[in-house]
Amino acid sequence: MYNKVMVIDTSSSAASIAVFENGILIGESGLHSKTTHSIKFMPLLDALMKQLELKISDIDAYYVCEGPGSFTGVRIGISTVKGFAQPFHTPIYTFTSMYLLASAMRHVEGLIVPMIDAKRSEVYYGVYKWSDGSLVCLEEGVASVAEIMQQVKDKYAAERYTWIGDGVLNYREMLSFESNDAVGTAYDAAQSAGKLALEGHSGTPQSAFTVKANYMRKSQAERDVK
Amino acid sequence: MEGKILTLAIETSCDETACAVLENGRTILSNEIFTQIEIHQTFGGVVPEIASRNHLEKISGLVEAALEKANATFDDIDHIAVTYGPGLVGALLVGLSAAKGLAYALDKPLIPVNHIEGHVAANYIAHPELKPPFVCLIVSGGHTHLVDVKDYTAFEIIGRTRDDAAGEAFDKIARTLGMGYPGGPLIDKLAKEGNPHAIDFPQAMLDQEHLDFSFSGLKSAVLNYLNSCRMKQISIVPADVCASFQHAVVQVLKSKSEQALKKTGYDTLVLAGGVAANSALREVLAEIKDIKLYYPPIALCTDNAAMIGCAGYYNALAGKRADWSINAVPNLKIGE
Ligand SMILES: [Zn+2]
Repeated sequence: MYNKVMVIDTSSSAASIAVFENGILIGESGLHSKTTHSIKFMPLLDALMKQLELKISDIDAYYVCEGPGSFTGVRIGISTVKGFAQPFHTPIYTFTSMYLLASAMRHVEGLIVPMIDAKRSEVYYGVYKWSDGSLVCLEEGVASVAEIMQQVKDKYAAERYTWIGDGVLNYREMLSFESNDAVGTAYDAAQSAGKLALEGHSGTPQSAFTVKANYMRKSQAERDVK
Repeated sequence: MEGKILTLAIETSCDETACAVLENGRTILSNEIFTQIEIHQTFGGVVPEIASRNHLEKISGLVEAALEKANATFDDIDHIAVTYGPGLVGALLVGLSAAKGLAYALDKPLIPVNHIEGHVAANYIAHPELKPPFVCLIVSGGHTHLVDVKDYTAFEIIGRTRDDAAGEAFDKIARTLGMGYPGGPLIDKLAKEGNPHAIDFPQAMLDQEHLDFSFSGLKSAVLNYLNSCRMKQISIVPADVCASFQHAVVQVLKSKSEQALKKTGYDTLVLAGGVAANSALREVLAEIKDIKLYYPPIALCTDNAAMIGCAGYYNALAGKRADWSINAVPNLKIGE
């Protein structure tokens, strides 16, 4: 177990930072404004670190959201963490933005389906469920918003579904909810994903050299070529 | 490293991921570049999203390689210089965010650098005796400027392109002739086999008092010429087209540079930017009488981090320092 851990998410318009010490949250900071991450993120982080009287060299591991979501936002978070981690050879762990949203839905029965607006009537989605206190990922992908709800229901036939994320809000009129559907509200909060990750669901450690963004689809230019 | 100032520099404004270490601003200890040209060739030009993705994957490795080659550690570094504009916003943000992360982690000053000012500074590395003031002709894919370089950190644009950059015209014509990308070096090479007086293309604004350029008229003239040849089924000699087009461009650049020298009263002309590698341009500028002409070696003409480190060193001496909220400025002007 790492002593001090920093958790970062800049994959959506929100910016979120959490710092844990021996598994306990000691500070968090977030902004849900439209200001670009390149302007707001570092001052936010600097203010939090000053309050905690911590330096970057005190951090023993980073947990950063790898995406998908805003490509530029994801890259700002990952490149900043690369800068933090490189001089001290600090390990970096990543989690997806669907995991981040689902992690905020503790004590929810049935399946949790985060949907992130991927534009042009598509969503990045995930299907999650809680099992003995762990968040289990059943699948993740990118799909047409018009079809994904029925696809998930046909495949899993669960008693209850909780739909969350801006994909649900932005495409609400394209989704038809039934009595076993709930619409959840989850803010991108680094602390919920961080807490879970620290409990041991964190995957393999990466370094500044190996950590990658998860775009979940090729760039437009590459798709046009195909 | 007593008494020496070491600059770590990062550059990601377009399709080169680059990192360098400089000693006292003008001596290169390392200059690492990962060029993405081949990746973008498939698409006939730089694809911003693909450039950004590659920068993110390469950046840390380049920083490590630059330090290793320079035989330096992070502790030896005095400050971190980084390009914050002009350029592709997503690409700039990768280098800028990584530089912020490093500077913050190491508690070292972050020095903001204008990419175009970096191109000017490439000449300080190549020519130890060069000092401001001088006139600088900056010609690159995105820029055609005549700049009064008053001091290391004081610039005034005295002439600019009113439409296309010279480099854009090179790229467009190379594409139309089916030569590939990037156009500048390809046209320069083929022009050597052609007759520069074969076709009389217009040299815009030569007669004007001001120092501004225009290349869209020339670009259209070349495209019209190619079209009418095809319509009339006259065979095109690409080498002649390249030579004549290039001749028109460099004659305009030469005459406006002469005017700028006269206007400022300086005796030194400095060439900077990617098109500074163009051999025809170097030849005609050398014809200008009674001046000193400087240009960087080819390796320092194209985008690199050493030039950013040199400009950053002088910015640091002048007390320039970025705070943590600094953003990328895609259309940053020189002297801003
Ligand atoms: Zn350049």
